[in-house]
Amino acid sequence: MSLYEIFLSNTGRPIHKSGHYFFAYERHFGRYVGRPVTFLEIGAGNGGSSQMWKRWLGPLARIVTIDINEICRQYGDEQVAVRIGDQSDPAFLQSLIDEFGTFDAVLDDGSHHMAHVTATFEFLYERIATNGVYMIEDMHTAYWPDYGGGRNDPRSMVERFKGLIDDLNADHVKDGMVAPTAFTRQTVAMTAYDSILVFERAPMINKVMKMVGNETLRVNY
Amino acid sequence: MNLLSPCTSLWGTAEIRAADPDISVVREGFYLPYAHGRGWGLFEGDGSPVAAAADFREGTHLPPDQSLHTDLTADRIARSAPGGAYIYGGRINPHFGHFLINTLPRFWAMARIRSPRTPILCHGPGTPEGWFGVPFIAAAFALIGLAPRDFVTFDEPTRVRSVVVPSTSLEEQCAAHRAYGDLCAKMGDRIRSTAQIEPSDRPIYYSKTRLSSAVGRITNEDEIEAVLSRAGVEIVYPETLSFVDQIRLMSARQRIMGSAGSFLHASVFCPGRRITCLNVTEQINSNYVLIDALASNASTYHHPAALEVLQKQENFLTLRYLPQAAAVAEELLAIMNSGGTAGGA
Repeated sequence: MSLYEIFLSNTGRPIHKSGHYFFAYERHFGRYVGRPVTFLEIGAGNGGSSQMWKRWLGPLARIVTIDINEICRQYGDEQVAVRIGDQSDPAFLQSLIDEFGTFDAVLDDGSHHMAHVTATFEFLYERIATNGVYMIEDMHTAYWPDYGGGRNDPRSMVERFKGLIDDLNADHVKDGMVAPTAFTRQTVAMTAYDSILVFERAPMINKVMKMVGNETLRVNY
Repeated sequence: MNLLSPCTSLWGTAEIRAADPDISVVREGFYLPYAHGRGWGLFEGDGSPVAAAADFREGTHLPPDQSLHTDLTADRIARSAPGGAYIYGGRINPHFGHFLINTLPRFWAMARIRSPRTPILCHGPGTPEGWFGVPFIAAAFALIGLAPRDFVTFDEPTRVRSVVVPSTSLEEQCAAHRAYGDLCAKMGDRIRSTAQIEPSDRPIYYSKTRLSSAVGRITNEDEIEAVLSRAGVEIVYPETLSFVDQIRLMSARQRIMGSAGSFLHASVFCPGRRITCLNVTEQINSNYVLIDALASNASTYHHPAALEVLQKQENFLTLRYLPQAAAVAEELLAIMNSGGTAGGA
């Protein structure tokens, strides 16, 4: 059953998602289905989504769901661990890593406030698995002042994403204004969807460009 | 009446430039850490100073605590900065007025040129964490998406492979670029977008009577306060308001009075205001005129000729006594009510 089918057939605790998010979920989290995985969901909502992830990812998935609301503790079960804390608090995030180990995948569906989203990303991104996936959803809030966002507002996660494209390509920038960073070395892809931002890490990024094939057949120089 | 004379001449110049300031890249240069009164700043590899990285007043004067002389060259410096490119953020000055006139103007292009991971190399006493302990600095930088982790200083001479240097967008008492007005207007918009601003016709008067230290003070300013307060003017003590609340308040009030002080510079974050200023000198410090031009303020400055300079006291650079203060206050109020037609810059 596809993740979308699981979502549409849900009769348990409510899940609140936009339909097109499932296109992104399937593309970026699909490789974890049926595999051992530690999945961090930021924002527990009404508890339906953690059950959805459990059903889709399978019996070897450890789902860690965090929220600031104590009431969410009741969502825990044999695969779903619920922890209560502030997503932007590095000490709380570190305590999760201490308890559950490195996260393979992160889905930030928390407060959607730019200050929280960026603080969480700042701390967690470098601490997820070296081949991990970091997804942030509901980023339409990056355009909303009530959430600390706005077009061209440097506090917006979308603006940050735009700037990080330069960091991703820093090896090729020749004007002296951008230099490779840890992000450049660790990030293999950035993907933007309507309301969703995705970062994918890789332990080694093979940037060696080669011409392969029979050189005598080369005609276009 | 006519205790007040319109100020018509400037201390300094006030050129407004439409073009953006230059952005240059210093390669293989070096950084000398802040050292009060000695050589500090950003230097080319051969030891010549990077002029675009210094904050000059009136186009030529360095800050009194800075020298740009060094006998060092990059090849004699052992320590190298980690990583690659830095962006130069200038000197972080924790005085409210200097922050708005000297520090913040260098950040005009930060959102445009900085990729998020690029560290901002700065000068100044203290540490980035300490600077952010000053509430207005933390609030202002947060509005442009910056946190302490974004800033870097070095505590010894350090070679730096590549530093991007945005020239300042406001040269103290000299010139300002529209880019600074644009930056501050956006910052103000961000503040106004998060809370309802209720416009009010009630004028405000910024008072210095509760300041424990300042560049200048009128010792009997409380007499002005009393007259204006009776006339329905709201008396405001800006040092009691947060940075954000100062901007919200000023954004809500069209008519503003006060003796010249750096709190008036907050108008650069607001829509054009009508400012009627009691100026303690005959000349207007041109910084006010630069800010007025960037903010599209309709400001007038008025000098009480009878003002007496008193002996200096601790915590105040200049103390003055204003004879007939109550009458001066009434005249200031009348000027404001007439739309400032009694004179102006």
